Amino acid sequence: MSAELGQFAVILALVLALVQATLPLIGTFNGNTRFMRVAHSTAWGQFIFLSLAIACLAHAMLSNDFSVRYVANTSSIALPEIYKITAIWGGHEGALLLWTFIFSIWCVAVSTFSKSIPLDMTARVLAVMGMVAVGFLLFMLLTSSPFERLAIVPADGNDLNPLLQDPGMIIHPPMLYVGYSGFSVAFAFAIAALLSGRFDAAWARWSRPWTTVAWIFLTLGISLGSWWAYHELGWGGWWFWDPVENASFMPWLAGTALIHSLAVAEKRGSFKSWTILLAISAFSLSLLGTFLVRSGVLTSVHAFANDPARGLFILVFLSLFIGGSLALFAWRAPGINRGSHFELASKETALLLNNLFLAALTAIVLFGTLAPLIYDALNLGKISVGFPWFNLMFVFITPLMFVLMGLGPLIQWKKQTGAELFSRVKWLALGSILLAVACATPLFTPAWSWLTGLGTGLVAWITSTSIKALIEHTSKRKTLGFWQDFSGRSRSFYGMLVAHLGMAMLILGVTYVSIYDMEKDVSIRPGETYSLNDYSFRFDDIRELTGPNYTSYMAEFELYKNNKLIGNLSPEKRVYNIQTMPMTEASVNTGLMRDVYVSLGEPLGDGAWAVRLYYKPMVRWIWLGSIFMALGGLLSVTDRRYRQKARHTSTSNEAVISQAS
Amino acid sequence: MNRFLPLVILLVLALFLGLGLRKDPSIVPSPLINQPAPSFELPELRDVNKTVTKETSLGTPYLLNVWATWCANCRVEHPVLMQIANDGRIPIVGLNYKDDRPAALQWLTDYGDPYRDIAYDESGRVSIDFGVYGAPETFLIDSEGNVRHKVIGPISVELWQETLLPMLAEL
Amino acid sequence: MNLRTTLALLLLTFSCQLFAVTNEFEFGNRVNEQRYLSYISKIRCLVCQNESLGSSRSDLAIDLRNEIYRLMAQGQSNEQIDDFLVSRYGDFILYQPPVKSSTLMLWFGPFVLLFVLLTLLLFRIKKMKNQPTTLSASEQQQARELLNPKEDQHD
Repeated sequence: MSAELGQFAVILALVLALVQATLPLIGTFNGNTRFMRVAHSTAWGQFIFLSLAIACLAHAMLSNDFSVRYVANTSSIALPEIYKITAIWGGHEGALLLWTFIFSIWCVAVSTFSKSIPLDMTARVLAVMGMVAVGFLLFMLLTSSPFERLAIVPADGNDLNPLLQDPGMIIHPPMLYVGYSGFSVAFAFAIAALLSGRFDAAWARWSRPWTTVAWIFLTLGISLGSWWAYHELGWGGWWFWDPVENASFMPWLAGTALIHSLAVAEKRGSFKSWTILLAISAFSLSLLGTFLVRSGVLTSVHAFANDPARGLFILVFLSLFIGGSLALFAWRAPGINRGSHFELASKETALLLNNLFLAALTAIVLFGTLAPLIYDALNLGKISVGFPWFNLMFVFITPLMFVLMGLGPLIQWKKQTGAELFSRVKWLALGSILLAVACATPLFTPAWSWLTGLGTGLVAWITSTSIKALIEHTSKRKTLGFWQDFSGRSRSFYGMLVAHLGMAMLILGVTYVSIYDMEKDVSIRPGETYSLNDYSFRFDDIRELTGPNYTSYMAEFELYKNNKLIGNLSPEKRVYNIQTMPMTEASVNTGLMRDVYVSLGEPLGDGAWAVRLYYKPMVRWIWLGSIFMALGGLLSVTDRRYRQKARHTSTSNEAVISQAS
Repeated sequence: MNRFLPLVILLVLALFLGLGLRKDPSIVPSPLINQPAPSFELPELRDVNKTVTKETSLGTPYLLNVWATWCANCRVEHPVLMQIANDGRIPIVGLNYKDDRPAALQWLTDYGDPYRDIAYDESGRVSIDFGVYGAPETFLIDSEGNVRHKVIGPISVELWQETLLPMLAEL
Repeated sequence: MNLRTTLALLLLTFSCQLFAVTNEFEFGNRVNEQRYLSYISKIRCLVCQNESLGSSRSDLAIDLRNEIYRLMAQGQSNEQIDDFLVSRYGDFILYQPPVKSSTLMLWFGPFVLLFVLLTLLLFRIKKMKNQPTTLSASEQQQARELLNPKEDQHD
């Protein structure tokens, strides 16, 4: 019964989405405030019905209702309960349901936190979001309903893909979806601005916190995915430039550009049409990611059942929707004013360059990801564009951007004399360059390379300039005291510094783990010891274990550093009962400065086992840096100017509404 | 910047994505097409004392079919191979890939033997020269020993009639 | 049965996850371990197409790793081994696409794009400098009052 109820709830949500996509918009044309207000109720209604749908699917999962095709495909009797819950998004259909559910949360959030925004604007924003919801709900109902029944009910399900039976997978997909669908808010604000023809600074200010929140979730989602791949796939990689990874990275790059250009649009009123284009792009790239992951046009790691019919649906939806938005943009663009004047040497230019680099990087990732498809379509041969190409492009292009990133916070708006800026940063620049040169030459150990120099130099540059910006900021505000300053309007400034430092940490981690990691394949028997770098791995014992839905071999290793025991490692080799797929559960001894990592391979006979040992210096800094970036985002989104707006604008609000209608 | 540029980019992108939907990304086209087939010398599966070489089959076009008993799709394909063998228009040479000899012989007894010769590639080394990455795979080789076409996955009746037969007629 | 399901089956039969013996090599002067590991990480495994030859556990990956080790031990260069693989499996097997006429766009396109964008941008800012200021002060002021009476210049 729950499946039918779920299906019905989704249909009702679709009906409400259709209402939300049309009525409020009609209201904005004829000034009917009742029509405009409908958007609030439909947003809540969709949220309630989609919660019900999720609850129905959860019920089917937990009660092992294998008459539901989706449950039969992604769950099994023996699957632990926590994974029965995560199995809700462990397959294509359920992931789509989760997407629409999360999207409805965004709609409700917009409806709740937009009391200070003129009603006609809210109505347009929610109507655009209603259109997105219509697309996704139709997609689900027409091609991929998770509530479909099977004619013949299997005795047991097919089990959740063992790769997904991992703690990292519990929250990684929801985080990503919160990020992806969150960009729809910035998108909706941009389209609403295009529809109304009003491109004031208020528009940028309203979009900003939404964009930042979506960006925080996307940042965390991507880094969780990377962390999952690192310890679950068993080969020590944390980023492979797989199409699925790129699909999440492109909206992130565009979203990062958007955050920066919104700052200019809000502060200085410049770059408005560019900002609108970025808002459209960030969300379009999220949709494109959905297409790439679910249509099977690219060779990728994801196990979603690929179906050309689904691909066609998303492609048509994407073309109509984004095409419509861009056509609207082309129509309205001439009406967007240029904004205020600035000199070549100014913060505006620096941010414009930042945007240019981020946009170019987005285009490059897009091009590299689609290149195999383009080459195939043009009959230019079948090629792979893998990590060596992407790494090379990023190593050549990003350093310039990072140099700018250091300068950014120190430059003034509108006009900045080069000489003044130079006098402020010359010692920092010199220091960073000297450090880079020192690291690039074999001064300390023969293993230093020019890439170490580049990475370390950039990290030093970003860190030192950030500290400089901090000192200049606080000395200007001596009278305030740190806490007062922090809880006031400067919080977004601190947020920016924290996020930039996070980026520096990430660069540090990426540089060192890429250049100095070590791996060794060994054949090892119980009682034997192998060494890697300063570490010795003693293979103690191996035993059989029975898990809830798998059997496993668990090896026991003792880890020594310079003959001192520092920890135990117990990598596993699991075979899941239903999918009979051997899975490697790596065991990691983590540390701020290095990870030591063991992954268990196959038995080689004679009691010997194939084992892979890894030494991963500073790999934690990659995820630590991501957390700092997210923290920076959190700080700026809680800046007082966003918090206080809900309180004091209700009066001016009414004025704007009467103006509009 | 031209305001229509983003729209144009989107349309071009959508065009490529649409084209991409009609192709399968996991098919790897063989660089051996219209190139001489690699030469090889392998023991015959059914007769240990005989060897099969590239030269054995020169003079007439033939199908080189890569198969193994551990391959489920080879079982799917097998009746079609029997049909082609009975049809008699083109001989089939087997390339038994990383298989177990007794099991392979048993397979032929159980399901029938469509092959004129069977090269026994126990180590898989010759199959690497042919760029084999799965089984079954089938090469159409002309009388001069050049590879003309490669089928990845099982041959179906339609594929035989609609693709291989017309190609064969042109040889 | 359509082509895609067929291929799914094909991949199953030739599983990425087959238990198989991992290669054991002696590294020394003849074959440098770092060179070998870095090389096989840049080759795509055609059986498990989203894995490198280095991380794949498929049977074919093991055979190809043996082959690559043998070629290295014979003193062949990475380029010669690339040729060996490409002549059998095509460019698809290389994660790093080769530089040739058809891939010029791929290798140099991004830099051309960046250069063009930079030039356009600088040109535009220069042009803007010569224009009369189109400061939307009134609009800016209106928004400021609407949202925030005490605007602050810091970001």
